[in-house]
Amino acid sequence: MQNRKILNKRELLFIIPVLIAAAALFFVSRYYTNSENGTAVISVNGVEAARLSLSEDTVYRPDGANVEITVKDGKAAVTYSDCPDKVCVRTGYISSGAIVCLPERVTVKIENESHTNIKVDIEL
Amino acid sequence: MVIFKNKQIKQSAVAVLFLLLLAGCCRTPSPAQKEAFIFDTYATFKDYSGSEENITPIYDTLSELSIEFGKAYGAEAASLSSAALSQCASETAELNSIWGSTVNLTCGAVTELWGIPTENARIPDDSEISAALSKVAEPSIYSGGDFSGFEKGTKLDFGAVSKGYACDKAYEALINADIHSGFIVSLSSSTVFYGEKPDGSSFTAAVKNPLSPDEYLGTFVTGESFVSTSGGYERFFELDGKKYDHIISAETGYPVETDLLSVTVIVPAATKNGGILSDFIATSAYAEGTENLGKYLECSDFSIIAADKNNKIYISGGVDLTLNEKSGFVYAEQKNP
Repeated sequence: MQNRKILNKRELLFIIPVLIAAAALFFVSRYYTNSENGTAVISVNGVEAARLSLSEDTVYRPDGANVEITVKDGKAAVTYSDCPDKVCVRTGYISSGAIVCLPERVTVKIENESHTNIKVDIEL
Repeated sequence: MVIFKNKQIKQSAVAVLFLLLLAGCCRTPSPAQKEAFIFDTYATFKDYSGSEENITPIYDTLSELSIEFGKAYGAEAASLSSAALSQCASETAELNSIWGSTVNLTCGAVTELWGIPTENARIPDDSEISAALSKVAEPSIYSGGDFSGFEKGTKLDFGAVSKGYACDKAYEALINADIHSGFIVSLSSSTVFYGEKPDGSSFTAAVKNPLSPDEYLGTFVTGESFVSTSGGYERFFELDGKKYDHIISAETGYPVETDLLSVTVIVPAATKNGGILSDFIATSAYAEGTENLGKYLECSDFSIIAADKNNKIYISGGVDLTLNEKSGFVYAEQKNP
């Protein structure tokens, strides 16, 4: 076999488009996982009921629980709950972490990877 | 030409690998997760191999246990007969003999009277409190785990230890089910970290800022362990601008008044009954305040992260806490090495 360059023209023609495609895929996937403000994931009784973008102000009332969830200015709050202790309402607006209403069995969890550099496995 | 073709295949394979790597598809599988409302709290089960089947036996174990503990709520102590409650009581009595009786399971009538944090929460009058206090006994009374001799009106409150005890049972169940993946069972205030993550790394846990639920006080890295947190910032009763803690003192019959905001206790998983220990110590240390914190900080059986009302943080040696600088909290003294 004769001496040759590490990559010949033919191989380059194959590899360069692949790298470009990979780079494109990388940025597209990053864009989709890191939407600007994150998402409020609402669950009732452990079952996901809705995913609300924090970029859009909205008021949401899930089926199966007497609560009202409000998204405003990139944050989410439980603004009304039929529960006796109101721990959830007192929590106020959050942009990370979670709000739990035990009596109504509702959770509001913020999914937002860009918020912190540290990947947290569990919030205590 | 055969050689060239092989090369081409090789190079294509390398290129495809590159593509996957760049797109981030080579990430480990995302963990399987289940949420449930048990133990009067919000529970999370997380299996890092992504296996839902691994979660089922652990969830079932805790769900049954939750029903057992539910029976104690509001019930006459003498009417209770449950192997789990008996075991939990005798383990608590053992801790009482070492760490004192800030945690006292017989204070059920007193906690019920205050009703924090329920819709029935109110400030009872002194006669009601002394009547309820007369039903409180010394912890040694439940050391055998036998409740049949309790006088009428005595009720048991397992709130300070039940979730930690449940974490011990979850840990046992994980071993018995022969699960080898990383696994977390969290009952909000008590959590068990089991195994390790697929990439071999430790777990990262975040401690909530007791003054602002929106952010973290800090994060720490932990291997297999039991972690419990006690604080007055979520469950309390407020009247005329005064906050009443959900932890009621078995001595005074009034909500505890502490200068601490939260206490997190980390116990290595190898410690026998480490779950209940973490829960018991978190409640005791929190209720006793900074005045008594020293003995907990010095003990080598567990590690402590405590935050007080002056925005000071106390930590024992060996805790790898990354403080959130924006939290407004600072270390009380020179951080132990």
